[in-house]
This record gives sequence, C-alpha cells and structure tokens, in this order.
Amino acid sequence: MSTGTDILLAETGAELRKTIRAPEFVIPTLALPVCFYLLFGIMLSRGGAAETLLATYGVFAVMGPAIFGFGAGVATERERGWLDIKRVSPAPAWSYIGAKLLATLVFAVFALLPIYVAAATLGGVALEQSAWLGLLMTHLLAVFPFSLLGLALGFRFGANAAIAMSNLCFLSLAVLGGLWFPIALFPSVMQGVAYGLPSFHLAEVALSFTRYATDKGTGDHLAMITIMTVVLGGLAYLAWQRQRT
Amino acid sequence: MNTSAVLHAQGVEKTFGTTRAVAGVDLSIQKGEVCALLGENGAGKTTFIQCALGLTRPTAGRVQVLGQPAGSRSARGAIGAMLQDSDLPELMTAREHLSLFATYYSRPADIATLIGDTGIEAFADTRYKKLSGGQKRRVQFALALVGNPDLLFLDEPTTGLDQAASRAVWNNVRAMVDRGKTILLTTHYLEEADALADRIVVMQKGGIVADGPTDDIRGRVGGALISCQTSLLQSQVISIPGVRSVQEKGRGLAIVSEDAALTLRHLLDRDRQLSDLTVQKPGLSEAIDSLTDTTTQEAA
Amino acid sequence: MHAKTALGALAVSVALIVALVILLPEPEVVETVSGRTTVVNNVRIFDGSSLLTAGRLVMRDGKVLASDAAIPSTAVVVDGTGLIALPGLIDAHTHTYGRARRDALRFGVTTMVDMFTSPLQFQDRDDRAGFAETNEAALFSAGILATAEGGHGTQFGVPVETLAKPSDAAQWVADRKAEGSDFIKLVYMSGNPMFPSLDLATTTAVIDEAKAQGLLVVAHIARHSDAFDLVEAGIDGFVHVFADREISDDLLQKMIDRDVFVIPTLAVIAMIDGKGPGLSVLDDPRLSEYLTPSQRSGLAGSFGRPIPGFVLKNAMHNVGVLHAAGVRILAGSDAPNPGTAHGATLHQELELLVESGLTPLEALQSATASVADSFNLDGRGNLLPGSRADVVLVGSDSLGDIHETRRIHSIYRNGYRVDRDTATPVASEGVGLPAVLGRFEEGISAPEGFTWQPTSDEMMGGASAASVDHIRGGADGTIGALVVDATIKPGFPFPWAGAFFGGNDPANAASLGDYQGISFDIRGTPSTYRMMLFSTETVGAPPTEEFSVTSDWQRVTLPLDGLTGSQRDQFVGLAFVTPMTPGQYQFLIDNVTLLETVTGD
Repeated sequence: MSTGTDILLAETGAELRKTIRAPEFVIPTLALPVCFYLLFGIMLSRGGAAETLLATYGVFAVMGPAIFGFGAGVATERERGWLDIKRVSPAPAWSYIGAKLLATLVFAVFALLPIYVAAATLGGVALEQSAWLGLLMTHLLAVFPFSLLGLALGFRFGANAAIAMSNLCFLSLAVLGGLWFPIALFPSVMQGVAYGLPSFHLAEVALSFTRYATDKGTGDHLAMITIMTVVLGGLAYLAWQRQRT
Repeated sequence: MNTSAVLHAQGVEKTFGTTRAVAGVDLSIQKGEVCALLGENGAGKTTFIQCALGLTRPTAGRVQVLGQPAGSRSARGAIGAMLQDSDLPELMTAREHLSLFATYYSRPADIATLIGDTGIEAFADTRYKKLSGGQKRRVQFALALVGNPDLLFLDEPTTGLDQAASRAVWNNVRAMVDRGKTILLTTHYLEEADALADRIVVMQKGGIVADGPTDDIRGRVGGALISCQTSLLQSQVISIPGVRSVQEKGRGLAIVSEDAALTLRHLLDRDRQLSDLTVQKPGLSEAIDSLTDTTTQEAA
Repeated sequence: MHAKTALGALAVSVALIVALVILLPEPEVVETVSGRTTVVNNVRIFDGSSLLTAGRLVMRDGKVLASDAAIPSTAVVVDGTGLIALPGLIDAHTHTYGRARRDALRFGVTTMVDMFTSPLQFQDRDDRAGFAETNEAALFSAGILATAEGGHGTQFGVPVETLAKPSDAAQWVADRKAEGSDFIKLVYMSGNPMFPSLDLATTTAVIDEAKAQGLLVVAHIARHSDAFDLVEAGIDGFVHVFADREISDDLLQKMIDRDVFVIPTLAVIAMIDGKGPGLSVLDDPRLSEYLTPSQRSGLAGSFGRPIPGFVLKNAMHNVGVLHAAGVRILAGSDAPNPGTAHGATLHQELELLVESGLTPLEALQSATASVADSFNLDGRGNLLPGSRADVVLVGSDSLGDIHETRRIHSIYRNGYRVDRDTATPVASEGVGLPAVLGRFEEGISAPEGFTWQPTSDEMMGGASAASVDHIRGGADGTIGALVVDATIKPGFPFPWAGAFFGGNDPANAASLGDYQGISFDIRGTPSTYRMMLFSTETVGAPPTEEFSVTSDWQRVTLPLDGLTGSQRDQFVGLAFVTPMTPGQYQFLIDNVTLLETVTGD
C-alpha cells in the first residue's frame, strides 16, 4: 500500500534521475552562477563585492533550475503527453509538482554550494552562523516563487515557446532585479521596475543577512515576496486550468 | 443501471463550442470483454475515451468505472491506459518507469514478472530515448498493466508502427486477452479489431452506429467482395443487379454483391476489358463501410 | 528504487546545509573587536626609529595596534602599496595662534611644540588626552617666555610678565606652571645691541627653578658665547642653533657631556641670511595647493635685510658637527616668521637638516621620536602599538629623497583621516547684504543672520572693554540709536573698543556686491574714531578708515575700497571703534546704510 509520502518520494527520486541525466541542463545551471560569481564577485572586484554578490548571485543560482526546470520541463512533458498518462494514473496531482519542488530544492543546494564555498574561501566572506543560515534559507525560499513562475509558463506555452519565455524571464529577473549589478546604478524608471520583481526583493532579504543591507525594510520585502508568490501561484493555477480543456 | 459492468457510459455528450464531438453514447463493457471502438478520424472515439479516462468531463451524461465516477482516484486505480500520442520521459528506463508507477497503485504487479510477461527484458534497462517505436509502445503497454487494472484502455496501440512492431504489440495484447483482461481498444485498423476484439462498437459523427460481436458485425455483410479494374463508372456499377455497394479501391473498384454470380455476369457483359478480377468473402472493413457508407444508404 | 534516490538526495542536501552553516567561517570574534578602525595594508612603516618591511598598520579608536590585531568587519581598509607610514610629524619650534594648528595639520604636523604664545591659546587642548576627531594639531607650549623688561619677546604685543632679578624666578616659574606651560623657555642674548637681556644670574635662577619645579627648560640664544654660558648653567636645549661662528671643540664637548639638544630652525636662519627658501614652497604644487592665502603671504614675506650673526653656512656646519658628535637635533620651523608657514616649512627644515649632514631617516627621527623623547610627549612620534594614531602616509622614496615627504598621500589624526582641502575658503555664494544694516528704532536691530555686538581687545588678552545698548533719541529725530560705552586701557599693543556688525556664523561670509560705500549718523565723545573691515582673508591689521566724531549728530560717508577683489565676497563684518588713546568713550550710532555710489564732497 502506497501513501502520499511514498509517491512523493518516488516521484522526487525519478525527477532527480531525469535531471542528472540531462547534462545540457545540469552543467550550465550549476556552473554558470558560480563562474559568474568567481569572475565578478572575486576576480574583478578583488574580493570587494564578494559578500554582496554572494547574496544576489545566490538568488540567481536558484532562479535557473526553478524557472527552467518548471518552465521548459513542464511544457515538454505536457506537450509529449506524459502529463496525461500521469493524470490517468491514480498519482495525486500535487505529487508531481511537489516532487519537482523537492528536486529543485535539492538542485538548488548543489548550485549554491560552490558559490558559498568560493565566497568563504576565495572571497573571505565571514558571517555569523545565524546569518549563513538566514542567507541559505532565503536562497532556498527563492525556489518557490520562481518555480511557480516556471509552472505558469510551462502550462501556458508549448515547449519551444516556454523555453524562450523562460529565458526572457530569467534574464529580466536577473538584470532588472539587480542580481548582476546594484539597481542603484539604474535610471530611476528601471529602479521602479525592480520593485515589481521578486528577484529584487529576494536579493534585498538576502542582503539583510550581510553587512550591506541597503535598507531595513526586510519585513516589507518579505511581504512583497509573499504577495508575488501568491500571485504567481494563482497564475500557475489559471494556466493549469486553461490547458485542461 | 448495470452495476456489474466494468465500464458503464450513459448518455455521454461532449460539445466543444458548437461541435458535438460525442452525441449521446450509451455503452457498457462487461468483465472479460475485449471491445474495439471503431470509427473514422473525428468520429468521436478519442473524445469518448478521454471522458472514460477522466481526462475530460462530459458535457452531459456520465461514465463509471466499476461503479465509480470516471476520473475519481479509485476509478483511476482500476484502469490502465495506453494513450495515443503519449510519450514517456526519455531519460528513464522501462524498469524505472514501471517502478515509479507501481507506487501509485494499491496492488501493483511485480515488476520483474511484468517485464517477463510483456517480453521487454531485452530493453528494460535501456533509456526510453534509445528504444524503437515498437519497443516504446510495448513499454507503454507494460506501463498500462503495472497497476493490475480491471479495465485496460488501448487507444490506437499500433498507429505509426510497421508490420513487425504491430505484431509484437498484438502478441502482448493477445496474451492479456488470454488471461481474461477486460479491454477497450480504439483503432482505425480493422485488421487490429478483427485480430483482437470479440466485440465491435462502431462510432460515426459522435454516435454509435453499430455494436455487436465481431462475427456478428462481419456477418451483417453477406454475399461477396468483387475487386476489379473496369472502365465502368461507379454510378453505372451500382445499378447492376445484386450490387449493394461500390467503393473505389486503388485503381479499380471494390464491389459488394449479394449475388456474386449474377453481378459478375452483368459486369463482364458490360465491360469486355475488365481485368484483375478477384472474388472473396467480405472482411470487417467492408462490413464497417457498409454500415457507414453514404453511397450505400442512398442506394438502399 | 526512486524513493531511495530521493531520500538519499534529500539527506545529502540537508547534511550539506547543516555542514555549510556549521563550517562556513564566522567573522573574527566581533564581540571583542569593534570600534572605529582603519587598516592600511601593505605599507612600509617608519615607527619613529627605523623602517619596517611592508606590513599592516592598524588604527583603532585613535591608537595604533599590533599589526596582527583582529579587525572588525566595519574597518576602513586602505591599500598602502608604495607608501610609507610616518608618525605624525612634530614641529619642535612654533608660535601658535589663529589657524596655526589647523594649518600645520594639513601638512602632516600633528603635534606642535610652541616656543612662545599667549596662554589664551591653551583653552582648547582637550585633544592632548582625548581621541576625538579634530582638524588641529596638538599643542604643547612654553606659554609666556622669560625675558627682561623690553627684551626679546616683548615686542609682539602679547603681554609678557618680565623678570628683573634672580629672586623673581621662583614665582615666575610657578605662574607659568599655573597657566599651563608645559616647559620653560627663556631668552638669553647677552650683549645684544637690539634687546636688553636677562643677566646670567637671573637666567641661571630660572633654569634652577624650572628644574626644581619639574619642568624642562630651553633657551633662545643668538651667539656661540650665549650657548657656552647656558650649557654651564644646566640648560636642557637650545631653540635655535648659533650661527655667528662655527662651534668650538670646547662647547661641543660640553654639549655632549651635558646631553643638550638643539632645535636649529635652519629655515628661519636661511630667511634672515637672505637665502629665503619661502618662495620655493609657493612654487611646489605638492605644498602650495594646501596653503591658505595668509600662509602664502607669510611665505612671501622677508626680514628686510640680513641680521649680523645669522650665517646659514655656520648654522648648517654646526648642525652637521653637533649631529656627528651625537648631539640630539630636533626639527623646528619657527613658523610663522617671515618666509615660513606652519606645517609646510617643517618639510623644508627636514631638507636643510639633510643638507647639513643628517640622513633622511635621521631627519625623520628629528621630527618624530627625538622630539617626543626630548619633550616627554608620551604616545607621540612613533607608531608602536599603543601610540596615538597620528599618521602621515607619504611617498615611498622619503627615505631616499627627503623631498618626498612633501608628497603626502593622507594624514590621520587620532585615527581620523584629515580633510586637507580646507585651505581655500569655500567660495560661498556671498550672501547679499541689504542696504540698511541698522536703524535701531525699536531695539538693536540687524538684518536676518547678522548682529550688532560689542568688541574690544579683551579677546586678544587686552584690558579694554565695551558694551552696546539701545537708546531713545536717534539722529534726525528718529526714535532710537545704538549706544556704545567703551573703555580703552593699556595692555594690548593696538587697543580697541566699540561695536561690531557681523554674521551670526563667522564661517559664512557675505558679499559686498555692488556696494561702494557706507554712511551712518554718529555723535559721541569727540575724537578721531575708526571703522575696520574684516573678511575671511584678513591677515593682521584690517583695512581701516578714520573719521571725526563730535558731540553733535553728523552724517559720515566712507568708501568701502579697503576690501578688494575676492575679499569683497568674503565679508565677515565691520567695526566702529574708539581711538587707541586710553580713556572712557561713549558714542551713539544710527542709520548705518550701505551705498551703491559714493559722491565725493
């Protein structure tokens, strides 16, 4: 007799297997953030930006697997009819999404690991234990809004369009959200845009655990993240309903 | 209400906008039946199956599986399905797919036994991506069986496969038939229905136009099937005595006649150049044609 | 099979998270390391006696710490590659008033050893013990010097309590100590044609008394023979080197035996000897950029003609010989004598010391650790852990070419970085002045941001006094006027008393704009009164206009051409004051109005 937990775990295991067998997904999503971090956070800034960019590139590192894993992954599996086979089977719908979330969280840990190690060793970043924990939890928290965004894209668009849209969202959220450069460098119009992006607020929360908190409004940022997560969840639900004919 | 039926559909309708894809279907399938749902593309077979699987909700009427509403978790637990145009994730092996699906069901099949029974040992540990079309279909077939289903849906199981691959799939299905599985099969290959099913349901324009044992359906077409090449027009042939229906077939005509000898005499009379003449007992194809063909209806 | 994979992956993930949180580095014990910290990395440190290899200079809460001290995360980190950290320079001979302490600091002089100033300058010396941010050098001073009546030191207008006989010495030294003098300076110029001098007996009494009361005692001398007398009498040091002749072996031996130090002040001797090096400072952008207008005019000044007995060649020879014999040489500028400027001239003095035979390293010692040791300035003149974080970062060739000390990278005072860009007065927009400065109808009225107040030489240590009030009965039958009661008493060389009109905040200058003159109604104790104009650039005596006052109201119109050029935008105030003749004065002033045109009559 199988319980929901058994199904969720089995589904998660299957997700992870699928994921690690796709090197064209794994290598860029794991390597790109840490390479960017080594280049901009350690080498070009001579360590000066190691701490701030740890906060923002951590969000960046999580964003890739979440948006692409869900956006492209769901669209492909839906288009290939795999989702229908699942729906005909007695597997509960939430186990499919829950397993993807868990797998993305695991993946996020592995994407974050090299960045944290690089920050601590090469970048000389040192934080209180509670700050490390808070930073890590914030980065893992980022999985949720971005996964829901990916899910909405995956349900709404076909495989090819979903990949294109995922890319667009991924780059916009990274650049406009201030993950690559501080938004203070932007014109004020673009700064306004940043306030509408979850990536910006997640980065601000992450920064609040470093010595470079830009303001004290962590509560406001968390509230914005919560609102955006709920909205993205709603969008994902609507896209899911829409594709069910 | 027939509660002993494995599948029971009553007044099922499904409309998309102004199109009625399924227009009031009543169908019961009893335990142990192997039922083929036949019909042309657009006849409503797939939409009906989707209603039965719970993938889509009927506009009117209802479908029950073992007394449970279609699409409910217990209904889904009692069926296995091999869907048309459905593919499995490419980076997992058959064994991995089967063991994942086994967790969904309360009394799943033993994976090793299932792999043996479906004859897929040779490629059970190969990634799905690397399998041939026939092998993929057989893995999907095995996947449909993993929950020890009471009712097995096979939606166009051999579409797109070559002869050999189709035969391999058929062999799998026949083995299940031999074990007394209840199967609902949709196909537009008549040979497939002929080869596998003991009951045939014919759909046209969303409704059932014929329903009966395979032999019975075939028997509805008496007489003989005459194939030939002739300079006569279809409209000329239909007026020949004994002719029930005429169809173009290849470069010639396929003529169903109630009295082969009479028809042949007239044909040869009128066209001395007539060639490539064969006479055979009509198959299921002709039976369906005769049940659905408009030419026949007009002539009748 | 999948569940195991998932459980394994989840377990590994959780383990990684836990491991990261536990193993990732924490800041170095933040609880114990805090405070205002500046770290200069990769800098060569001259600790006051020798030059260390490149390392780390740590300043926290105004003190130097050991280079391996823990660093708080809030530390300011400076890259010191290619620089040398020197202890803040100590100028061993200055005269300090006005902006001197600020001016000196801009050139890396963080401590001044003053050889004569008014004790009024001692009011603001909290910085000597504390570590607060300041834009001034620390001041250690002799205060009033010991001299004969009419002797050297009495000619500058600062009231000086003089000595006449040995028995005056005890009380005189006790008075200095009470005033806050850190050491005793005496003037001994026996047989000098220009000034009377203390006799040797009184001088000896001062030396003995200073030592008895625990004070160091140094002397201003002019000649070789003066030095001879005072070494015998037990003097601790000379604040100039004798330049009338080359040193005798006899005196040299005595100085070695008695361990007497010398502050040569070669830069001033060079000026007196007509070898004026002041202009070279003006020409050097490394220094000139940080000079105030008054420092510039000081550097451009001269003594007029060479004074006999001041031969630079002799002075440098003597420094070389004394140094070679092991006599302590201390660097002092004697600013602000003509041709010198606080701070800037010390760099020149270092160069002259090197020309006299000191190595650059020895010259730097003469302006740091040697001064601190000689005057017991604890925690200054070195960069050892625990010392005051007064630091000058200079170009790394300083020990090869002493001129490189002019190339100052940055200055730290009590660990705070010094803002060097304060020499040029901020070119303020020049708040425009309204035409009417005072009608005095209802009270002592002044335009917004300005006041009328009493002024007298009391602020310079004089004895005069003034008060202002409103009085009914103004000029031309107006309601009221400003009344000034003034008492002129001797005490300050240029006594004054009267009324001052100026801005509430002296740092904010106003602009005279197009105003060309001023008119006012005045009556009072009949005499010749004066109006003085002040700008931020005023140095020494301000531009002054004289006018006659009678006991009847009369209107006076004066031109404002005393302030010219940029001074017109830097208007600070104006004063109406009495004559310098001692006595009681009262005057009423009314309808003070600025004029755009002055019609001659």
